[in-house]
Amino acid sequence: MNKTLSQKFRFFTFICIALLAYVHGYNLNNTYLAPYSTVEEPLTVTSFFEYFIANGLLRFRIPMLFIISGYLYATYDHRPYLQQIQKRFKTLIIPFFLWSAAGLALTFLLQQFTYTADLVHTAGIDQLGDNRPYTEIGWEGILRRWLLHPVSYQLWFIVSLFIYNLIYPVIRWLVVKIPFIWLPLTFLLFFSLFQFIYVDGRGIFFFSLGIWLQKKKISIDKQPEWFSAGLAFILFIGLTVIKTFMAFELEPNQFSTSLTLVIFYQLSVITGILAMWFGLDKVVRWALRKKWFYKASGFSFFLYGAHVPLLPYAMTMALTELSFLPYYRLFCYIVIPGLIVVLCIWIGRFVRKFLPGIYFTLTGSRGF
Amino acid sequence: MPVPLVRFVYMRRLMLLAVLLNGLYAHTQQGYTFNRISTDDALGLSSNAVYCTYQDKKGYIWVGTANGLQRFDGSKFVSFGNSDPGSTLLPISDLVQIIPDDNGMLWLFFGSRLEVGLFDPISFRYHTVPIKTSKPIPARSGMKLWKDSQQNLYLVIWKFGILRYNKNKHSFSDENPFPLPAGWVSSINVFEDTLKKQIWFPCPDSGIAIYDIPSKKIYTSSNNPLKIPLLDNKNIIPGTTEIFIDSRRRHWIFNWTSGQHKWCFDEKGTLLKDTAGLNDNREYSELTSFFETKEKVLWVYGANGLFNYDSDVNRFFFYKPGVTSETGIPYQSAHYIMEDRDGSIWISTDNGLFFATPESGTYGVVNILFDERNGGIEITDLLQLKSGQYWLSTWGKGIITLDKTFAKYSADVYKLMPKMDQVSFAQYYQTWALYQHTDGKIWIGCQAGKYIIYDTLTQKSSFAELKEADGATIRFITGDKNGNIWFSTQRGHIINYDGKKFTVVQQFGTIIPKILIDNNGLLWLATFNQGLYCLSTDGKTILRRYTSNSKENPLFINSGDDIDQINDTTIAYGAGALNLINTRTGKVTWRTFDDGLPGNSIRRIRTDRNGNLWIITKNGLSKYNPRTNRFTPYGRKDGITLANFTTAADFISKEDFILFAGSNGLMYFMPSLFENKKPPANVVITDFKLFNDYLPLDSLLKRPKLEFNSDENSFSIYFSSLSYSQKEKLTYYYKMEGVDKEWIKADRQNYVNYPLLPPGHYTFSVYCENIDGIRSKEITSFEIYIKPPFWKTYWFISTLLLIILLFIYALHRLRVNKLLAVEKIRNRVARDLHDDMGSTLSTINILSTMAKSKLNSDNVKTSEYISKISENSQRMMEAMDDIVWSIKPMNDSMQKIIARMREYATNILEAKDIEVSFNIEEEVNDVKLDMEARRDFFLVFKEAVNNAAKYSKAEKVKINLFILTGQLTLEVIDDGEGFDVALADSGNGLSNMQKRADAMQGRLQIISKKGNGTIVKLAVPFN
Repeated sequence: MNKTLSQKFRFFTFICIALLAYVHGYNLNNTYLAPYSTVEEPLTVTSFFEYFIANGLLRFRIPMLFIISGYLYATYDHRPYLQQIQKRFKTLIIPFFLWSAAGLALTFLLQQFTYTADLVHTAGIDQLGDNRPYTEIGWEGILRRWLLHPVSYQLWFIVSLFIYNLIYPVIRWLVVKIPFIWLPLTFLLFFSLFQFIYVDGRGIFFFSLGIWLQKKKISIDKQPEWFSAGLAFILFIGLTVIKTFMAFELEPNQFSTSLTLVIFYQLSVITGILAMWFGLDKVVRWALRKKWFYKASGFSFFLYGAHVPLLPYAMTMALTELSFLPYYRLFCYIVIPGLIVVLCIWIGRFVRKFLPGIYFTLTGSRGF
Repeated sequence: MPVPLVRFVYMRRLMLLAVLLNGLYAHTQQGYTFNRISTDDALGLSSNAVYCTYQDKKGYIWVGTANGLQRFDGSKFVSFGNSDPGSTLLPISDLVQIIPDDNGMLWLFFGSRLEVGLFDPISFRYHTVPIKTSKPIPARSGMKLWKDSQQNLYLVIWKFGILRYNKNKHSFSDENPFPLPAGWVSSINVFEDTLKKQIWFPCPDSGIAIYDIPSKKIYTSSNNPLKIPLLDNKNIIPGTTEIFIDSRRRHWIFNWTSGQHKWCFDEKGTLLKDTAGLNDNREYSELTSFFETKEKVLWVYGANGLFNYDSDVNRFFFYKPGVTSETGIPYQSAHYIMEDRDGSIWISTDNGLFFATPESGTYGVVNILFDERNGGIEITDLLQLKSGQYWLSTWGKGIITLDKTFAKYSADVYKLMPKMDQVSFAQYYQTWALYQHTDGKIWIGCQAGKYIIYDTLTQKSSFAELKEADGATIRFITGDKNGNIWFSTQRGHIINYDGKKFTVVQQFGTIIPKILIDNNGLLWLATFNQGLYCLSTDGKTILRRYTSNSKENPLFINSGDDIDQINDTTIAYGAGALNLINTRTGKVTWRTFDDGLPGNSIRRIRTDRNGNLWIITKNGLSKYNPRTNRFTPYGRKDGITLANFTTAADFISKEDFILFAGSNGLMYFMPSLFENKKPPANVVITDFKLFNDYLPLDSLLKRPKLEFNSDENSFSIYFSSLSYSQKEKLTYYYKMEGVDKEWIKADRQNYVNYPLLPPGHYTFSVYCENIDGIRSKEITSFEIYIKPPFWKTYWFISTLLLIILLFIYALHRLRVNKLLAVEKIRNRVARDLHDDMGSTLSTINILSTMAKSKLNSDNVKTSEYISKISENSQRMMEAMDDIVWSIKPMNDSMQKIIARMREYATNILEAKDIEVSFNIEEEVNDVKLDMEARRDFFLVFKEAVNNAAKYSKAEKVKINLFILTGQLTLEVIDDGEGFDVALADSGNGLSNMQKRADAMQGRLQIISKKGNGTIVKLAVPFN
């Protein structure tokens, strides 16, 4: 792997994770935005902007992270399988349990005070839909939340990634031997939004794509001749804008609407990946020349693990306390995720400096 | 039940006795005041033969008529059904029973069709439920649906048996659910005693059978282990047809022998006399049904008979069939009685649908209408004495004295009347005004200035004439706080009596029907045609006068009949409309018909203890709440039937009763009767009209949002709280979010129009408020979405923008590509010139220099150099020719390329005596190659032909040009000596060919073997 590619991986890993805060930080009435979600509230600057960003512009991130993961895993697949899995267990599964426990602990702590308990209840992010205090849900409920349905709901990604790592030999065989069957098949899974527990249909296509690109030695560090960054950005932003307007204007709860939104969503994701990956080379070079960015990007995984449930609780508090401001929802959406990102990086710095062992375990030895 | 009503009930009962004892010819309203709904009302009732009613949870009244099922929302009936012959849809036929199912469906029983079916009131779907019996049902069998407390449904068939509805089989079948003794057949009026968990079967031919639900045993007279007394009572057997046990555990049993006998027993079987009144009907009647209201009022009804039990007098009140009067209803047969959620009674009859509000019933308004056969009674004034008795002044019949229970008592005002002439005698009976002074004496104003003073202590009257009145009739008498008595006369005298003497303080020359002394002691005079006067406390000074002609603060009209004080600052003057006078500012405000007053013809005004005005106009009674500025009309629905007769006098009693009286009529009621502390029912959207078409509302409102196309944007929304008793007393407020910024008070039609709404999201909300300002519990609302036309949607506009952007970007790219292409050509030409011509020219230059240097010394060398110069210049010319040829646009066509290829091959090969043949497919002419490809293609060809000419030693060269698998394919085939391709020198010739083939993204094959000739094959993709 050349330096340019390595730098791009670092840049986009951090950017994808940092932008996660803006994907998880929206405050629309609809608290769970799926690719096919319509918006059941009036079209305003706030609602448009939040949907445009959270359910459009930034949705290229997870697929891109899967591509990066697949590429990197394929780069180092000469190592023994068991050794790889052991390493992945340390870098993915142990952090999963730790961050899940941390999310639970933070939630439990906040539930002990009336004001913060109200915030927790109002935020309503419990993945089982039961937002009662943990003292009322019993040990079984807590265990289920710790092991299967973490309050830090973003952790599904690393579990999903671990599963792909587990079945990597199979995926690699399929990618190498029958790429023209396997990739279209997984592409259909991606388009169909297939998901089974932690096996994400969208993820497996991009993970496979990463492997394929690496195995075929296809150069992805520089923009190919056929590629037009301008065209890609126009299409990416244009399709996202159209999809956002459609989410407000098409008839909700109709199959045709869902299908249309999904098609636009996926096209937007694909064009987004291409535009961002090949179109931001100058930005990548500029950013990585900056010391602060280079340092901050080292905290990507810590930021990933820490930002939820911190973000929804902070957002709920901000919405409650700042409701007197005009455009307070938009203000909160722009400001709070940014603050949380900065806060998480600072906490990460603190932990790494004073509790390096814990930081090491929490991040699976990343960022040293 | 409000506490004052208890007193009222007591009073009302005695009122009836009083009327009876006094021998006054009067009709008192004993029962309810019914309102009739018929086919003549334009409400849409499809038939006056109404059999049954049912109120659903929303509040709609479902009505079974001779013409099928209808739904009533208070404003209109909506019909359901289909009368096509052979149709399986809901029939338009006599629907005699509607029974709710536990899942919201309605069981319908069509009598003459003997058909039972289930109707979904949401989707309006109907399907019949089969009746499956082991033997045929006899013709003309009476049938009745009956549901027990366990929600089991039965079909009771007279002279046949009882069928039960089987949910699994979805049919009625004779499962013999109740094992009656052999030969015992129940009438259709089965009764379930839910308290004792027993079902009573009146079996006309056999007796009474009781099914005990817990033990599943049947008890009869021959098997009566529980010793149920009525089973052994021989009087009620045979012919028992009806049984009913009311909430007081009275057992009502009717049987037929020579006629219908009505019995009432207590639990122990003791005969009670509570059937009193049930036999008041001398004509044939057939009472078959019972109904008990939530207030425990018992109704018995059937053919030619309708009764309600009045527990105040312990007898039934009989509604005489066919009588149309203020209190009667013109029915022949009462089919069904229902009580709605407001407590109103609905009676289905063969002559329409009747309903009565609870206010009009036993505990309601008392209306007394005097019989006019003896000349009638013109009541002119009312007075309640300090001791509680009521005195009524009349014109011509003197004073009627009733005790506080309205019983006549002996206070013969005229007992000690001195002898006088006949005219004077009559004038003392023509009484106009009543007033009781603080000393207890009652002053009675009479015709022609005469007056009577009745001393309540001595019970003696003194008869006198008020000389100061100049023979004018005394119209009104009142007193002030200082003990002065004030008189007004028919001719406008205002006379003061200070206990010693009478003094005329004013003379206006017109009728003064009323004097009001306000809280400050000022005198306010209602006049005929002279407006309103305000006098000083001694009456001598006119402080203010209001007339209709005043520039400032005019009255509505000058003539007024009544005047009252609302509060310290407001006087209400009934002159046409309601004139409200602010005593501090003098400002007059009108409240007229436009504000909700029933008519601009006020006759009486009376303020109750809560500060509300009770107003009689020619259009009836209404209440005015000065705090909310709202009028509430009261009419027949509320039990007010005599408002048009009671226009002459009013009074508020110590018990807070409001009394109005007048020509042959007297009515009174407690104002609190009309107070409603319960919130009104939630508002229901009753209709939704898109342009002029009514939409199927029930299915429409099941959707989370009503969605319409952009051209479906004019709506009328109808709403109602479905409270039939409160209908006119509710005020509705609505708001369409997206259009209305505030709540809007609805007009009396209860609907709102929204024409030509622009596309967008809207939420329509409506609630209602009763006269006491209590709102319905919930705001009824629904969302409307008018889709914009697709060309106005943002997604479409942004799609267009994207396309435009892409187009602009494509143009930009095109331009850039063109510039790049030009630059590329220039670079290419420059390179070619440099490569092909530059080096050759250099060579020529060197050769010419060398030739020059050898010119004189070595002619052979010089000649060799010149020869090389010639070759080079020849090659340079050819190269130049190729460059120029490839650049020229006119050579773009394939024909030109082929022509050049022919020319070149012929020149080269024929010079070497090699036969050349061309095979060119027709399609090749359509191929387009760009400039570079054309040049490369030609040069590959040139090289191949050149090689064939130079090295192959061929006799024949065949050149093929054709299209193969979408590629332009060139073959140069020679029959020369061939060569070993693997060993061939990959010098400039072959490698250049390969490079050019690659530049065209084509494929070059050279197939050759020694002795077998050579094939050069080039395949080039093209657009």
